[in-house]
Amino acid sequence: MIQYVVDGLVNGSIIALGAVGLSITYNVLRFANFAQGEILAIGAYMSMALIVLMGVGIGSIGPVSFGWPLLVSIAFSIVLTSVTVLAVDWMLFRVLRRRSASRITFIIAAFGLSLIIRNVITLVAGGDQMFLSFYIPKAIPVFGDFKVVPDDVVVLIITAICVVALHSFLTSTTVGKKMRAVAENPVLAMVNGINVKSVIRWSWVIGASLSAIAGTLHAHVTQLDPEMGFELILPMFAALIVGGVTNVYGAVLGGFLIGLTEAFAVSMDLSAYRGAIAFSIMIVVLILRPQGIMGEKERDD
Amino acid sequence: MVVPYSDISSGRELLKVSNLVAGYRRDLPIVIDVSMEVYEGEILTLLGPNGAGKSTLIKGICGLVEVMSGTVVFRGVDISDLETHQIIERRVAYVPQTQNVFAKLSVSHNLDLGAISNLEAYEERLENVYILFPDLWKFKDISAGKLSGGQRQMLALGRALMADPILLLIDEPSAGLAPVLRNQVFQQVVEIRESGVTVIMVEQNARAALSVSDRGIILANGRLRRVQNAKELLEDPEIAEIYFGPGPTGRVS
Amino acid sequence: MIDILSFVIFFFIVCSFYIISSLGLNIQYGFTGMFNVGIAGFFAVGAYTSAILTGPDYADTIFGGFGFPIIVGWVCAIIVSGIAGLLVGLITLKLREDFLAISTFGIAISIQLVALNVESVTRGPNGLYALPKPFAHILGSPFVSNVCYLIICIVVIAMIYYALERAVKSPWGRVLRSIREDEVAAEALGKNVFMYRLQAFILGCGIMGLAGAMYANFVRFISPQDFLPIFTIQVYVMLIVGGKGNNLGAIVGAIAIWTLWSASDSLINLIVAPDFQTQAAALRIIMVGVVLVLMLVFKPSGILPEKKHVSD
Repeated sequence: MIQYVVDGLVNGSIIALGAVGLSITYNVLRFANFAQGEILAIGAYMSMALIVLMGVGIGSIGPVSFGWPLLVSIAFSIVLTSVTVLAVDWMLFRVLRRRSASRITFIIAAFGLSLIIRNVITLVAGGDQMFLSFYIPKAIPVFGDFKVVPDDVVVLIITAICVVALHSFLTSTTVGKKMRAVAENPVLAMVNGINVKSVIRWSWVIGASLSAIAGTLHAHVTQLDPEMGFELILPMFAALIVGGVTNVYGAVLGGFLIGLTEAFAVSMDLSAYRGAIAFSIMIVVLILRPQGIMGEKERDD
Repeated sequence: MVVPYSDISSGRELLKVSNLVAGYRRDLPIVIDVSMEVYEGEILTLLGPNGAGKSTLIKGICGLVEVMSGTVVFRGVDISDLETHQIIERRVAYVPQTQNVFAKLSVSHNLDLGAISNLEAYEERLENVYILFPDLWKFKDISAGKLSGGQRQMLALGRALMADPILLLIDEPSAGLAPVLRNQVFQQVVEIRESGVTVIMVEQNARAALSVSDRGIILANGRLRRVQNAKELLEDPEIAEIYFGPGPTGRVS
Repeated sequence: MIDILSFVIFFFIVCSFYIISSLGLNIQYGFTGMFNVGIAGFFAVGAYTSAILTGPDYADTIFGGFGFPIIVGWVCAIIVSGIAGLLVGLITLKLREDFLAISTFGIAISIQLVALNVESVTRGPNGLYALPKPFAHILGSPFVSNVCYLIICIVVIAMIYYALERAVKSPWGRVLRSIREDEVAAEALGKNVFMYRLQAFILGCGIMGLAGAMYANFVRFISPQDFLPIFTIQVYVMLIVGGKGNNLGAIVGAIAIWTLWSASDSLINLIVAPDFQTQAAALRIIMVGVVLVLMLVFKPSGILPEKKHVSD
């Protein structure tokens, strides 16, 4: 039973980090980024490419089945993924913004983009699943009868560090404060002398960085698969909505809740329907309490 | 039609608008060929009927609306092609008519954001704003959305002052306020000018606004109709009939 | 000669299923501005309905062996898809456009999951086979039966086109367009916005269901793999390229993109070695995605922009 909870939390972390990127795009850029799952995929594949390039294998640190090579590759993946995302924004979304395109146009563009990215990955890396590393689900006794898989603990720790870093970024740094202003009212933010274009770039970078981490962790815990973005997008949206669209921490909470829900489904032998269960919860929230757990009622704008 | 005026505080030209054409869409200009000068230290009111282009004109000055032709020169620099945040950094401040505070953030948070483009002497400016608007100090931790109309207007003005502006553009400061509060706002505008800020305001309450202004400019259908000393405008019977109407608020027919 | 003709006939028959789906989407997205990302799901509902009603008895399903005439299968497909549209619409149409998109996307995935897992009804991944095809026994010739099928398709498309053109120019259609442009204004004029959107949604879903049924009885074998999100995106590309809000645009777009899709298949098979099949398929999909994005950026109104309808 405990293992299901831990699995739920581990998967939940990945969904949470991805959902944060989704939340930032939603609140600052004001559209639902259907390509967010593919940003996680890019992050994962970049890490893989770097590990292969480095040629030293994945390493290990004590009982954990990955070591500094993976961490280094994550760092580089963050940079590469951010650059890729900024390039895509510059070529596509910036043009749509200049034209004051409708929200739907942005979403359709994101759909098209996700299709392109998914298949570029297939083109370059082949359509088969690959193993980033060998996640060894061997539980180690911690105290008494309580056993835990060391990799799982590290994933949770990394996620916790990311969330804390995000929080301090948003509350203490100037850029973070500017982001919150733009999320609330972009025109008023401009009138306050805030360079909204710069804030938009930062938003993409933060989202891409967290997604790169999430994608790599997902690839480590499961495997690399060109379809991974598609598999993750619905749980991420569910997390966003359940946690509360307007609140970035809601996305984190939502991520863990969805992760636990899916683990619960697996424990009840319903793993084929995991996606549908997360989705059903999302629909219920949308109907009964559209602002989610931590969100606020939105103005329509 | 420009009539000679006097009683301007310093006479130095701060802002020069030349043949400005501006609007939200290229095929639909709202401001048509407007030229005007604004002098340091004055309070200038823009008047005219609804849809005359007054709000669009000040939005054009601060870059929120596209300048299609003509120029806007502020302190000798052409700002017509600059982005809004760059213009704000040059110490122009703008107070929109609606959505002029961050409703979900507290009063003090709003004021902080006002200073975010220019963090020098932040403490001093914050103190000055609280002196000018004591109510804001009282409610400094309340979220802006919960303030009354009058208090929100004060916050909107205070936020603009946090950037230590040289030129302040205000869009209908007295809109939606009860008469007592209206006069209070205009008095605050005078105090702001006393501290060395030049003010351009758009107003529908023509009579009350002109009574605290140095000059008035009348726009109609996107074009400049009159530039004149405020006192002369107030006393001109023809203007009074067209723009001030039967009641004291000066509604245009 | 017959081979080329056969190919052309086959090409246009399959193209018809896309044309009909585009016309259905046009009512929802083109005219009413509803972003339904679940097209594949409603197509699937229609396909499975007709398959179950017209198909033979399978040993392992609880329904089946009804062997109803194909026309019954198709009419029921429209009705069942329409009902599915009603249920989905009741739940999701009050939501804002991005949430509507996420919801309908999830619903299509859920429908596919149900098709995959509820094996007692759908035979899961094994699919439903040996479905009857109209005119299959005439002259015993596949060529002739395909010609007949193409005629059926053309007739159906003509009927739908005519009906939709009438609907769009009618007062009902005008309300839809006014809802798309400014929902608040439409509401202020006393129109029950929700009811109108629901009607347009159901109509669109019914049409998509018909396309699914026609697909099922032509290919004679369906499985959950036939109803993946790529179908939804293909139909969107077709409508956007052809011109949303224009029924003729929907048809033109479907033909254009289907031609591109088929041509690229042949072309890529000529160039790329058999070992790289997956990559070849990926290349085709990338091409479609790029067409979509380029269209959105450069010509969002499509090849045939929406006609200005004169009020009648």
